[in-house]
Amino acid sequence: MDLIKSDFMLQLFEYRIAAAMIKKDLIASILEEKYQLLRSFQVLGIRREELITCSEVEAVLMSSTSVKDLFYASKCGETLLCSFQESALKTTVSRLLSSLDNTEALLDIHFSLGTLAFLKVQFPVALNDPVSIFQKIKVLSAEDGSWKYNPDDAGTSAKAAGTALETMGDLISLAGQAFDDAKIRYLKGVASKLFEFLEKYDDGTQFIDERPLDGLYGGGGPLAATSQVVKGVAVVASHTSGHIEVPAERVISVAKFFLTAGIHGSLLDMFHVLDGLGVLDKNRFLVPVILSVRPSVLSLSAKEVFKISTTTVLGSPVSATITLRKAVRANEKEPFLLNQVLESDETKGVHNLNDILNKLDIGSYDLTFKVKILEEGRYATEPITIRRVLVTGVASIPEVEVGVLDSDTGSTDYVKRWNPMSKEVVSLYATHLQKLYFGLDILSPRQEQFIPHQAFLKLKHETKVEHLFLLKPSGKKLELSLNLLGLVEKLNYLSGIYTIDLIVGDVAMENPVMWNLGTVELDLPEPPEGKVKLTSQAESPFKYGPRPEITHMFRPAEKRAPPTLSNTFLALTLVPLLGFLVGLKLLNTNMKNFPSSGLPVLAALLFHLGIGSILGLYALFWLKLNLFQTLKLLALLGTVLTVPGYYILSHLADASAPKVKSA
Amino acid sequence: MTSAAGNVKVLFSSLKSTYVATPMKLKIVNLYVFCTLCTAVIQVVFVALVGSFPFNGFLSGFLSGMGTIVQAVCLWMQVIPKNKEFKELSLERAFADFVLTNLVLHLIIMNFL
Repeated sequence: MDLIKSDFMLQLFEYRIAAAMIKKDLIASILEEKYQLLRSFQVLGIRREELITCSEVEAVLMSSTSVKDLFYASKCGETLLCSFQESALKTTVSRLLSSLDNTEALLDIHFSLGTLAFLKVQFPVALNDPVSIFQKIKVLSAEDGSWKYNPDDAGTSAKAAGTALETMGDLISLAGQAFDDAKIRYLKGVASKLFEFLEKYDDGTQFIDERPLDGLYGGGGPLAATSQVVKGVAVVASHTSGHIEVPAERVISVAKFFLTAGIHGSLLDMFHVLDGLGVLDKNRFLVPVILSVRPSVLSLSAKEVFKISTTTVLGSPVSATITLRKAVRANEKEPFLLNQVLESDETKGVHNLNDILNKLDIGSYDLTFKVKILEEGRYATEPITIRRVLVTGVASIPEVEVGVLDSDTGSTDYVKRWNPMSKEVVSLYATHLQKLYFGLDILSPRQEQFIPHQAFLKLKHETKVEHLFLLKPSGKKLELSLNLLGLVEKLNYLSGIYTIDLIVGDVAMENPVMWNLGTVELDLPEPPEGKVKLTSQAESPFKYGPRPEITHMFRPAEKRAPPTLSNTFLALTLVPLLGFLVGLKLLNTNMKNFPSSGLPVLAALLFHLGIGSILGLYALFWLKLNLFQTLKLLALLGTVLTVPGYYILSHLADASAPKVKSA
Repeated sequence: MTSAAGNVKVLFSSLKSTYVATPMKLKIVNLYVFCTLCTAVIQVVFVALVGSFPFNGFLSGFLSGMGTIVQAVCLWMQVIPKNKEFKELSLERAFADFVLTNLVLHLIIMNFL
């Protein structure tokens, strides 16, 4: 198969490689997996004999009791183009027919009808009651066009609807006469409606998402769901005549979804993508057409040419007329080419774009194409397609201007035009009072001024310390002016010989350069006091080694009074206490009211002891205890104190009351 | 001049004689207040000399002095015979209040110390 590769189909190369790599790992023992591999190889155009043989398929068909195995065996047989005899499979057919009568589940009906449809190709098969089977499938549908798998399922999904469509398509192939126009119209309506379930990614591709219900019945993600829906629509289209209303733009988006799906090594994902692409490549409802521009990176120096082709998703050519509406340089507004109809090589469906080659310069371009397909009804394409291409070429730098200027006046002390062709190098001398100047022009292959992405100047000292500077565009020239006075600190006051390297590169340049222009001897002043002149060895321990340890500096202790002074004042504060006692004596106070005998004595003593004990508790609190302990003990002592206190005070009150009353 | 000095002398002696007539209880309380004040003043002098570290120590000592002075003054007010307001409350009750409030004050002072 002489495939014309489109931009997207690079991925198919990857699949081929993956397929070749599983040569050794054909351990698929489950029939379903064998079918998936077979189908994948079929789409890719690879023949693999050893996966399964027709006799093995026949053995499964004769003996297996699982409808799922029967279905996948029949699919393998279909892919391998096996043929079987009616006599061998009579019991299988009757078993399938009876299971159809007994089951309500969509998947069981799907598997049974799929097997019977395959067998019908070999020999005649008659269904007992096709209408009731149709009803059984229809009863599982929901209002919005999605389907259930079983009558008692909670949710519905679009993938189930795809399966239902495929099943009903098989039913039509088995018992077409039972289907009147109304049923056909109903089926086509379901198929059209399914495309409304498509969801969008940001890049414009559309897909059917998996619902939680699908996870219960096999899963497979959006790839499986989209592939199943496309298959269902295709099967219905292939068994009914006429047209299914399917929006072209959506079919294209689904094709893009499959072509740009990322396969991360999963054979199951690869199967779903290839299965979907296989259906989209050849079907009766709408075949998406992909426009591809080759190569996407064009090299002017290799004299490559653009080849534009319109193909199906798997690369079969489709005839069309392509017009280049405009070609615009990236990031510019003005198109430089308009409305060019491409000449085509009809045999291969390839169109050439040779006329613009002598107008192209290096850089990125956006090419806008308009495609008109000759057979409109069957094919769908995007009306306007934009493709970005990169044109690379060899840029030339004729010379580099190197100069040493005086800082203040700007007058040149020395200037040299360095030629890359000659072998000589410059050797400059500059002090911190001067400026270094570098300037260059870069020319594209069309002799236009070209500004690259990367233009650096590297100064490297003999101690291997490097400094990079950017060359900036001014007008159309690239320039760098180094004022050494300002750079002295950045260069760490290192004087000596620096080698000068020029580095220029761009994605569109095929010849990036790194040239050694020569050397410059810089004479810089000594570093000021206290600033260490870092050599490269000194720099690295600080950069990559451990930093010096930081010790915590505690707050310095407060100044306190000398002990003698403190003690003197301690004594001084006790003096007023003594003064109080002396004063009491002088005033001739007495303790006459102190009770002398009996309970009052005890109470009075306890009262005073209680107060004293509380004061002692406070002293302990200051020395040792915390607040909670103190409060607990205080509560205790306080309650103890109140009793004698109350008693003695009331006793005194009573004792003095008669005196007051009498007075 | 001499008349002025003589007047002052007469003033002082009259004060002194009146003071002797005050009840004993009040004299005790006055003496207490005076001594506590001296203690507080000595603390302030110490802080002025040495600096305020540790500040909370100074504060607790000074404020305890002030606190007891205030309580003593309250006691004084309640003990005066001529005071009409507090006639119902007995002297002992006033004294008990003084003791109680002193204890609470000193608890707080010790906590702050």
